[in-house]
Amino acid sequence: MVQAANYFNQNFSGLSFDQARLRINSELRQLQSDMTNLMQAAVEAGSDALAEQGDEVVISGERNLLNVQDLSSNMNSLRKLFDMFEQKSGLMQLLDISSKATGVQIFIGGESQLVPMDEMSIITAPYGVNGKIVGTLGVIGPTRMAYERVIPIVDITAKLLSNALSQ
Amino acid sequence: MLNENVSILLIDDNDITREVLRVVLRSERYNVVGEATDGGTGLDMALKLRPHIILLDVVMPKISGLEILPKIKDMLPDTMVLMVTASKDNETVSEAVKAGIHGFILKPFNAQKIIDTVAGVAAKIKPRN
Repeated sequence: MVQAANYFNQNFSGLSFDQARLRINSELRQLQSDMTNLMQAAVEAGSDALAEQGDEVVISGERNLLNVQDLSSNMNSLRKLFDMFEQKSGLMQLLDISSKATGVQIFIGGESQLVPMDEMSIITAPYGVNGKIVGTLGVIGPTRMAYERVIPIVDITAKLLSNALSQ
Repeated sequence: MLNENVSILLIDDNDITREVLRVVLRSERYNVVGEATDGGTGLDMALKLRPHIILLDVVMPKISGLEILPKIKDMLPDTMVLMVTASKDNETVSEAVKAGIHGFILKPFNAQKIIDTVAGVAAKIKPRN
């Protein structure tokens, strides 16, 4: 009860009941959509990896990064970013490290030499089948991303996917 | 001690690092009571807030984490200090251990390891009167 009260005070103070209800509904819809997209990408990655043994990294939604001001205003950054998507070797190294860790890994650009660009961060989490890690899913975004939102989304999606694959 | 009663001060010059640490710690309901971006301000805040735990960056402009560590240990002997670092080099580690560090939080961050490390030192916090 105390936790629920703190959450409501922190996030909905000053709002009427109807406004708070609308905001919660909207956030839940957005959360569901984000998790569905991420899980769908992970499932596609698994299917593609099975179909073509060579292509082990699946990237989707990369064009959304064109709308990020921090990245899109710098042509050099964009070029490096899309080179990285094309070559995939840097990402493979990072995903490999992540697959050996437990739970969510946070790679911050400029702080970790594993991240190819200072302006971007990567949040990853491994997923598995019956306790055996079979892949890693993650979100790539600008260093100034909504970590409060992305970290739990990556965490929960990996857990849901592991559960779904294990049944 | 309940997590919400454990007060934590973050001293790190990188905004993003502080944000990630804050998000991970608050997800476990730890009480992040303050944040400082350099060693000098961090030391002032530590003396004022007397947190149970300090997460201290090694490399910072002006005054480094290793420089303020002995002062923290001297003035706040009950405060647990965890070093936040990407460096695994022996010199940094041995210098920090000699200065009385209670543990390390290594980059790249692993959310579960951050939580486990903080929980480990939180379990050793001595009750205050």
